[in-house]
Amino acid sequence: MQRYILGRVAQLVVSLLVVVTFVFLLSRLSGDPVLLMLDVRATEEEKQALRVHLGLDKPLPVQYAVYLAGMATGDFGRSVLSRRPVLEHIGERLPNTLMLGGVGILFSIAIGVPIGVYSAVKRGTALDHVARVFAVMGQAVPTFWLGIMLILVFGVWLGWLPPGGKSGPESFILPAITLGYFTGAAIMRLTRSSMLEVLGAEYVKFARIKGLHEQVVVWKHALKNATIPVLTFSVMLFVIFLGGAVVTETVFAWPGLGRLILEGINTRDYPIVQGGVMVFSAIYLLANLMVDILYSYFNPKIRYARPGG
Amino acid sequence: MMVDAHRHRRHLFLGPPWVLMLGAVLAAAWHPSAALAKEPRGILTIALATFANETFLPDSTPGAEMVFSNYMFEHLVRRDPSTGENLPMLAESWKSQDGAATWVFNLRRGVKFHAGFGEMTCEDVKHTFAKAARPGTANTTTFLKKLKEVQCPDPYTAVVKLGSPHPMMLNEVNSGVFAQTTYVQSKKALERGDDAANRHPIGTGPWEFVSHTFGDRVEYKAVRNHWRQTPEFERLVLLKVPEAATRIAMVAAGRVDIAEVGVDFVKELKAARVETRAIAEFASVGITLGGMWPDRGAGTSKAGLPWAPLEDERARKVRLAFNMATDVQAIKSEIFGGFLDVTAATMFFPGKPWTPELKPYSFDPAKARQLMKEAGYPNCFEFTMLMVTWPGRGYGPRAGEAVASMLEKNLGCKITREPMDRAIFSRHFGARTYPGKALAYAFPQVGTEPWEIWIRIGHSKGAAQISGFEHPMMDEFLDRISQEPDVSARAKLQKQMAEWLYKQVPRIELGGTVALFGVSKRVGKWPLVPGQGVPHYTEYITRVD
Repeated sequence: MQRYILGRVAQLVVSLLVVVTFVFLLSRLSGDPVLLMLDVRATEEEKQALRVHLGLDKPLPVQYAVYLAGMATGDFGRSVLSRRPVLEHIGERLPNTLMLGGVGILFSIAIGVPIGVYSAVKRGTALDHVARVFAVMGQAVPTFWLGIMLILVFGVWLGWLPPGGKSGPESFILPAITLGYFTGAAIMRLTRSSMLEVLGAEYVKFARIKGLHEQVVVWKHALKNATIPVLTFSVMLFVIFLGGAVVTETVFAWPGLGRLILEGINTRDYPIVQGGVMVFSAIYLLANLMVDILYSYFNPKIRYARPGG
Repeated sequence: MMVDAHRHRRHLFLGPPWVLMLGAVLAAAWHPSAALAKEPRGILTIALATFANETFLPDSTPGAEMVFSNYMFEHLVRRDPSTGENLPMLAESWKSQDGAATWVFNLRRGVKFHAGFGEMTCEDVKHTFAKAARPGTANTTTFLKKLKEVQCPDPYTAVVKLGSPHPMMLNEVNSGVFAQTTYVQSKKALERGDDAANRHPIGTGPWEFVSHTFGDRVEYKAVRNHWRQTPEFERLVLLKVPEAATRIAMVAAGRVDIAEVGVDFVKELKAARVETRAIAEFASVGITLGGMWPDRGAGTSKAGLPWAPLEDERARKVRLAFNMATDVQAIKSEIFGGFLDVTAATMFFPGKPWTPELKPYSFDPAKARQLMKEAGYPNCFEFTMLMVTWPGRGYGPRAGEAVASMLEKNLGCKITREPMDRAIFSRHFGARTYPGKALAYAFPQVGTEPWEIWIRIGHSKGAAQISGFEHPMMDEFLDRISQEPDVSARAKLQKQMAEWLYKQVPRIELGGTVALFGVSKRVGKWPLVPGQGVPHYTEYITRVD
């Protein structure tokens, strides 16, 4: 097991290095930030002076080496615009994204699991059909559209909730629903199929024969086993949330990391983009690692598997 | 006894009630705004599309950052909200000498920098200008490029010595657009270093910096007993809300008090029953026809550009046909919600002493087709139109799309649309790398007079080239106007320039538009300076309780 984990960690490091290199090269291909920072009337000398100041005059491999060396020591560089350490910006924004993601996951599970269970138990009924339509909609509706609709209804027409920005706990509700509906629908479908499988199992039939109340059979005995894939999937939800965060945070003016990266792209703030993508990638890879470890824990066959074997 | 003694002392100190009343009346007469102002209370929240480059270091950015920093800083002079004229601000008076190569500013006494950074003196002005004028800064303000030195004969007199005359100096040290490099800053505060100056900026304005969360919000607090105007709100919060729909929703729901919204959303604002306020004469919208740069060797009619060169009669017919095939009135109502002054000459707003009485080109598709036929293009031709987006000016691409559709329908042109971010396009400004391409664009006003933008975008030596053409005649106009200190003589020259531009038909002219804001019911009076496109003078906003 230990060897397996070490191997996966080594893979994670290599993956991170590939991501860093890729992002570094892509960001350099998209243009010169000095042109954005200076007035259009700036002379070539002024542009060059700023390039020297920012270290952008050095050859690409040197810039890359400087960046890698910095990251190894926890230095992600400084924002081209704010001149402040990138890590400081990430530190300001990441908690907001994680908090929103956490609330979004809770919402996903809170709607996905019960609806999935009922849909399975009431298979073929009107309730099942409604639940499945709900799930298909959740997977099909674009996040930005849902966000704007929620803002319109609950923020403007009804005036119940803030349409944007991060203020009190109530400001989490609309972005969390926007973020969580897609994954909630996925959880519902997963729970439903998992429950259908479990409800036909011998031990569930036995529990019914024993005369246990149907609620106990469903919620205690069946759901317990049906939630294993759902829980594993929930770990991956964070990754899905990070992807959705860019759109949701922009629509709701949420001060999270997704929006920071998007703004970094728009303003060609390379260090911000590199740092933000690095953090997102690290979270993504760590989540994958966690899922792999959980799988190998529950299913030892995985860790002993060898390529081709 | 104790009570009586207290009463006696109070009378000795304050005098009888009628004296107090008289004192209050005199105080009101001396400084009306201070005496009648309400006690600062509540929060004024403004939702903005962008914070631009988001730094409080004015010498490191081109100027759009005024959108989030102008609240806490002040200039030597300011612009009058109703006339746009220069009025005293940190400088109480001024005069030019040596044919405008020397400017003497008499500074206001007793103006304090925030957070105990002391009184503003000439040394602060000197240090601010010297810092911004260093090589390597982002500043390219004309007078700072000419700056030789600032002398301080006494703490309240600043003598600015320039290398050559600069009659329009005041327009660069006032509170106009792109004037952030000349915010007067505390020498002591700047000497703490750029990092400290950026994290804890110090100014003299009516709002004092409290906090800044990068990419999200900036908070200010009211400066009580400010020398000029104490705000009626206790706090000012700026929120960065990139999505226009969200900004409209926030102001409609009363969650923000002012939302920056482009004129292309005026229908949405009306539907949401949001009151609007507009800054007049903000930008001039049209379609630039790139490539009329004869000395550049590219993009002339010889190189196959039907609309170039400028003086060619056949090319002029093409440009005129484009204008006559464009239904500007339809664009005005459908895209600009009525907020478009249909004008005849670029950057010339109606009602100004320098704007001649010219009739905009009429919408006449049949005549336009005839002109194209005469020019040798009966079925028009193929070209690309760049749809340049800019936060707060989202109507550019929409207006471009409307014009492109009309040219296709009325003249048979084949137009490829190329969406482009303003940030990406900016590199083409100086390099003149868009010959043969049309450009849907909105020029902001940068000063009170049209030549001030033209000299940046239409002079052959101007670093930015967004007008699409260069011509010796235009250079001559601009050189003469920029050296002319007399206002009426400048107006006369500009009138001639406008008439010349009108005859040349250099671009597809749509007109001048406004900067639009949705406001909540808590916002009362708000004086706005024409042409100044970012929220300003928030300290004068009256609070509706």
